[in-house]
Amino acid sequence: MDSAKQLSLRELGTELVIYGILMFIYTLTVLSYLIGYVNEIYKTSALLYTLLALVLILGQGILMEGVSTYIRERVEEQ
Amino acid sequence: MFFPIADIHVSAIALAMLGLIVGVLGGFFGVGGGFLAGPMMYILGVPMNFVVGTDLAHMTGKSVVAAKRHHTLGHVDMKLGFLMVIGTIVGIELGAQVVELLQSWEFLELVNGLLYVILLISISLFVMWESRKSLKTKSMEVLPAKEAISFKTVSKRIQAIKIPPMINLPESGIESISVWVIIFVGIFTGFLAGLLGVGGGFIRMPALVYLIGCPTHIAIGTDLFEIIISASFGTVTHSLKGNVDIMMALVMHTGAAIGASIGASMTKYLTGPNIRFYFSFLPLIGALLMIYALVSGGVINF
Repeated sequence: MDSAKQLSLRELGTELVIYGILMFIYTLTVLSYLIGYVNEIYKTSALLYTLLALVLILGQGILMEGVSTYIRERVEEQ
Repeated sequence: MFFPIADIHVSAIALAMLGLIVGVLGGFFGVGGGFLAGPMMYILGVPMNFVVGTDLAHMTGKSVVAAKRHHTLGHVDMKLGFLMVIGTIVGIELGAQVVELLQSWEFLELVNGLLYVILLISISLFVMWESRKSLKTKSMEVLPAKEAISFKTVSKRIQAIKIPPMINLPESGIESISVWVIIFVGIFTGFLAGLLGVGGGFIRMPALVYLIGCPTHIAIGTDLFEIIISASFGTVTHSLKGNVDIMMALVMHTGAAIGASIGASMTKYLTGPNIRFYFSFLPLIGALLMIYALVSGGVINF
């Protein structure tokens, strides 16, 4: 394996650790906080729940992509 | 962690790790990974009625990450993706209708299971044979390394069909192809996916390469772009029936997002034939899981 690829693996490891810590905090705080409200909406309106589900998963997708790109760029700068 | 919607306790770490593994596969091969995530979620204790819908929801978010990463790498053909998705949605609905019609048939699940196994093994063997041949050709430097495809006869014939309107797909390196051909390929792959009850990434990715004539990297990125739309559609239909635990999907997605980003980035280091060779093992895993389900007495449709 050439040095460029070795460097990428080290960057990958660092990125995974930073991302893992952030996700642990995110799951414990934001998702745990949301769970009760989302459950209430699930019980009351299927349509509203569906719209909320779509917004949440697409929103988290865009957010996570931004976070992982930001971490990668910062790690690569080091 | 307790998930009140599905009314179960499941380890958040196990869900995130599962998401990570399926995310890497998704980002690297351009598949949803339902054939692996579905059975694993079931093993983790997720009720069967929540497995498919929740998996589809997490797939939506994961595909956003992977497709955006592939887009940055220049691997997404939006025009091709939009046209394919029209055909895919029509095809999935047709396949589901056929299943509805045959529902009363006693051997439907068994025949469906066997068809699934035959299709997956055929795809696997064909892609394995073709990619090995391309790798040999590549090593003799007859074809450019990045996009050596030994089996171009079918895609050339398909591109020669001149039914207007014809379009140009510069991102995929296709000068001219009929819109109807792309939609038909979408219907065909969507039909198989709907009939077999699967997402169909492992059918669509090879179809984009061998039928449409798309380079492997573009096929992966475009398929992921298509999965965003088709998985969103699936999430909506399952959610309206109350079969999506979005909180579980969000937890799974925390792992899947980084996995998808890593998988997509890994494609930079490999050539098309290399990716296709590794891809050829994926349908085999799906076939083995189905054989296990058939032998153990039940048919799992993911």
